Amino acid sequence: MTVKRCNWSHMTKTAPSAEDLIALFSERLLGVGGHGQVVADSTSAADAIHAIAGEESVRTIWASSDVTQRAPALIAHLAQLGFATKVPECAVDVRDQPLGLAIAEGAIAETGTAIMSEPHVDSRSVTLITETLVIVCPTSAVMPSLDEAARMLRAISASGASYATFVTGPSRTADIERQLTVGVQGPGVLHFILVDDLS
Amino acid sequence: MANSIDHPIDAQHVQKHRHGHDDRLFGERYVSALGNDQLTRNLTAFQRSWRVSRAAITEEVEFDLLRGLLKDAKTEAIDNLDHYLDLFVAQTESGGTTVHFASDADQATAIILRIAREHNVTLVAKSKSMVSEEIELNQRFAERGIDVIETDLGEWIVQLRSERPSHMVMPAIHLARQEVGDVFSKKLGHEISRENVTEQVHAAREEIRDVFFTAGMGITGANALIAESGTVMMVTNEGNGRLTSSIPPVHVILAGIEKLVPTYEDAMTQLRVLARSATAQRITVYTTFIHGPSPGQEQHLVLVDNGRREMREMPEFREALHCIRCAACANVCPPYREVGGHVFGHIYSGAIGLVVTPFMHGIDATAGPQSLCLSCNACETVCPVGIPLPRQILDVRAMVIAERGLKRTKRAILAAYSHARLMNVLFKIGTKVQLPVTRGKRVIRGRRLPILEKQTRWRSLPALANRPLRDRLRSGASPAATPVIPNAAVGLTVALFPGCMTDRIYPEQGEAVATVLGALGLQIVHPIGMHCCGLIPNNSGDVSHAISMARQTLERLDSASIDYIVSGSASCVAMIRRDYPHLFRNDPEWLPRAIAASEKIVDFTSFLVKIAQLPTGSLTALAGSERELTYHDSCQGLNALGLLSEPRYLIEQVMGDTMVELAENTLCCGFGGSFSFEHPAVAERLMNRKLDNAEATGCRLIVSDNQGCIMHLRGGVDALGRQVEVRHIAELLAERVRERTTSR
Repeated sequence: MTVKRCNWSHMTKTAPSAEDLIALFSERLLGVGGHGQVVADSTSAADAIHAIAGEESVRTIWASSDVTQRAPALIAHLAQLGFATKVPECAVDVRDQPLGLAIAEGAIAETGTAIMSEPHVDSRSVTLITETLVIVCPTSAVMPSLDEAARMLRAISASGASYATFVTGPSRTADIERQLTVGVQGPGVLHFILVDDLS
Repeated sequence: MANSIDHPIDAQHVQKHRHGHDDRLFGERYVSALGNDQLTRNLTAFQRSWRVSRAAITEEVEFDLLRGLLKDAKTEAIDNLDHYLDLFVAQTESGGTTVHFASDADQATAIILRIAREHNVTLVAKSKSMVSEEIELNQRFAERGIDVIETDLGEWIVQLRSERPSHMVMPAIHLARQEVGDVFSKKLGHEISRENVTEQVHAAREEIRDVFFTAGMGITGANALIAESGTVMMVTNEGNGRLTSSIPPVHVILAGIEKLVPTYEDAMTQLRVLARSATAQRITVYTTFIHGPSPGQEQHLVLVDNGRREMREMPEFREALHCIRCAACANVCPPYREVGGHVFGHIYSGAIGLVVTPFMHGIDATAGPQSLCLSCNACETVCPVGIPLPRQILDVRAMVIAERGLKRTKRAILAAYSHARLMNVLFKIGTKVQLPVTRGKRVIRGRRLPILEKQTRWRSLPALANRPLRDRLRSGASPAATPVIPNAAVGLTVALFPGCMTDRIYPEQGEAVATVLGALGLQIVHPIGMHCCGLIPNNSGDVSHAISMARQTLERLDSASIDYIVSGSASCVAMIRRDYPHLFRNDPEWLPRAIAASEKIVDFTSFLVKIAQLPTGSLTALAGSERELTYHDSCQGLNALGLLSEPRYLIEQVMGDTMVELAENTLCCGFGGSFSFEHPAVAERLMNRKLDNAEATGCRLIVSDNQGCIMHLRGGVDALGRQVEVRHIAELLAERVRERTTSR
């Protein structure tokens, strides 16, 4: 993926291309220690998750109810690849489980951020405390900047009680002698898969 | 004149002795911190790297534009506080949150305690909340049998050590990994590495994990309250804030009422500057937007006043409510680097701590810590909402002085100094009296001043000049001479304001300024009987003497026919330009004169570069010899007046000298006026750091634009026998002018 330097304040004025946005998003995600890739469809996304799981040597994926509902084809492909996909009923189910899967509402190129809308704690717990987290997102949902994200947040909160989060890289701390360490309370590894045709 | 700080009665707006600490305790904290080498090492490394990282991460955006946008948003919210509070509360209640208002720490604690008891809570998980520290929630709950466990790693570490955070963003910045390993081993009952930070972090993760699942209540803070939707914005890096707000069945959000922003767009602006200013990140890992409780959860929001409305009612301090708690002001504060945050006594440290603490903990709580400010103005340059922190700290100092008075010696000195005629006599006597001590030299060595041993052991003091500048320059107007240097200021009339240090200690620097200006073909006015601009009492919190001396100065400078007032003292220029309008803000008779002077005053380097527009190469050495030097940016020049390119243009382009940049050029040399006498240990360290950095350039000549810095650095050079010379930039320029006039 080509990395192209863009400035968000200029980008918003010049209507950047989708390629520019994805390139900037990937650059920024990489900069905060996240891993990004773009795939064509849910089959390829499942293969990508298979590769990630292979690194972690796990066969069970804890998935948010949102991703199972909105990306059933992906879940089906994962099943074909031999993965058991479980949806937690409460947070303790996923406590320190090795692999989680969730779906983002959007992605922000300016910051390399995933926008999560997670009103229910059980579903949210996947992104809270699994050790490796995979977030999938339709490629079309990449937006240039926080300005567009503000509009999305407004829409999310208009629907009633809500809990939205910008996730930008793996959990980190520098509280001890400013030494950067990942995986403090949230996931220590973050993969973000943009899927052109997510189903 | 309600709510003005120059009247003692107004200090009563600030409640006293809420949870105050006295001066004795401040003194103990200060001495203890001075002896902590680890602290200084950690903070020095942190401040140095933060400067570099912040510069890189702010360059990619139009930071000043963002700063202006956020300042506007916060001004709108605070100016219309009740409107936005009503809107926010209505919206957040519609999401199912129960809102409580607490006027002070006692009420806030009582509210949360009641909620805890209703749910039989015995264990609370807490993520980072400055307000919870401000109201001392942990201690208050512990007294009532409820354990509050910090879940932020840094907060947890200091909690295990029975300490308070020493920095608003990095609570354990003062500690070494070995100290962390030791306290973890003790707490966990088995050996944790003293060296391996990753092992330490993972040990903490395991221990804190249990707290989330067993706590009956989670308490979080808030970084912004978004009025349009009633949404709470919270930023964290570790993820503990999300766990704290999600897993325990009762979630309590604790926030100051000033956290309001009108819209989501404003919140995004805050995000863009907050992480950049706090940790030099583009954005933190987690930014959470909470609107109402999650299903099955109960949520309460406690909005705390605790002195904020008092602050809002005082125009001098209202802007302090714009603070987003990024701690950038601490990250550039020179005394903070040396003594850390615990010395400040309460949770808010750095410049903003000095401003807000008296409103939350009483005026006595800030009496000692406010003396740590050396008015270097560095904080203001990095504040992401443009709070006039240096001025507000001086206003706090004035409140402290109005309440407690000056120390007797200082009061006597300032009272005498405010009398121009008396000082004229005293200075004349002084030039004679000093002879047995100076023995004709220009410095007074420390060993000859045993009563000032702490102040002079490491820094010689300057002797008074035998002939002050006032006796060397003819008072009144001098006719314009034919210009020696082609320039754009020919024909202008300028008044020379030398400043009292130039007049009495370094008259040759004043002569140098006059020589250079004289070569430009200007009509120069030397006002009769100039004394001090009032900076000395102003920086000491002595407002009445500052005003009387400012009036004397304005009377002598007042002339409609003058185009500019030029000074070779950056400090005097900063005082007249920035502080005069504030000093006379409630005085309709003098304010116009103060504003007029503030608009006419210009520093020597700016005048030469921007007004006279000296051409490149116009003062190169006739002999063609190359000269290498380094430049010390005075705090008043760089931070207060924004001078950066001006002296560099004069040195490199106009004089053709080679300039080697000084490392950490934004760091104060440690003078700070009376600061270096009140806190000599910190002043000595800062001076040595500056001289070390200067020597590291390999240059043997340091040039500056401010007499205070020159006096301080020359004193250090003399006392310590360092091989470097310190000169005013005007002296260098004047030498080149003289070369040209004698060669004609």
